[in-house]
Amino acid sequence: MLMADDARRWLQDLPIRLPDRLKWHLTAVAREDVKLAKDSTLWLHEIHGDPITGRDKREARLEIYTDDLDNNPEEEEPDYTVEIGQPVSHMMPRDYLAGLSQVEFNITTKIHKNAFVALRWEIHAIHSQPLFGVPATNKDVNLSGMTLLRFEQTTNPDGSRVYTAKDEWTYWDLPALLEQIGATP
Amino acid sequence: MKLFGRKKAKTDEDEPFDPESDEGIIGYYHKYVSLAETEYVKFVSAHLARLHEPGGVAREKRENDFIELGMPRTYLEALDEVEFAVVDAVPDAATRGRARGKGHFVTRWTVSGVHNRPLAGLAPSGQRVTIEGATFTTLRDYRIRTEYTYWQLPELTRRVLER
Repeated sequence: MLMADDARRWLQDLPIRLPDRLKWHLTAVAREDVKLAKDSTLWLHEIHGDPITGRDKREARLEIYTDDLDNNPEEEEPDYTVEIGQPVSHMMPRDYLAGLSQVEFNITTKIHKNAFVALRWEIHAIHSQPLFGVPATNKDVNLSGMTLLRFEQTTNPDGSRVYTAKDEWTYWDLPALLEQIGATP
Repeated sequence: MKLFGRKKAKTDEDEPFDPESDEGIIGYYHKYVSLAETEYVKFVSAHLARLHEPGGVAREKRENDFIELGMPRTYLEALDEVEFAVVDAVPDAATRGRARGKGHFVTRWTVSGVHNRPLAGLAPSGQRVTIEGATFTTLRDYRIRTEYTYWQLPELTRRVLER
């Protein structure tokens, strides 16, 4: 079986246990990417008509563990905001939404690194409206795909930072959807 | 304090740094991780390129034993004179502790080929077409384990969405 040996040679020189200052640095760097991934997840859920409800874990912790929170540096307010808005879409439009209802949208895998977020998702919905020239069949359909978002950081005159989604690539399994609803190309 | 137990050979391209300072340790770590991620990207890109060679899928499955998910690569059966190119690759490799060897990689690519056989319900056109796609690759223990591939044929998308 082929291995990424060249990558392994570089990583094997790193110590297993990292110094605390390096760990704190990596945690701080990762925190921003995690927030981008969270906001991207919420945005995609909203678009698909299946918004995430319920409180954020942080808000629940604020209410329950108020005393401990005063000394917890992890709970500091971030000094940046995230705006997703209308990124430039480079790939397939989400025209499947026009014909589907009762959408259950799930993100199955996500990665977030260096202001780039990739989300693999699956949809379970009902074909209840005309879609791609096919009248409503009221059948269950399953669709999977992937959305990639690239963010750009800018700094406002007051020093606050903003991450703005610049580019978006969405790919989804069009042939499988056509097969499920009985459409022909 | 010696962070690593061996001496590093100095080269002209190395920037001077102090491994005892915060910057030194952090810069050193990021340098190694960056080098590792570059190698990871090369490894995954080479694997994807081999997949698009004639007989490549069967050969790679034999040598790598990975699970192929997402959309099947039916375009390989429909196109001739296939040319594969990586547009962009984003690595997210685990580098801390025992998670080393794991990683997720997203690769955006294009495949062009002569459309000589039916593809996704479209009759062969005999023209060179370009397919754009992305692959989500997962590595465990430095080996490719799963791959999710999604692609689109612009002509098919255009015809369906224009209805």
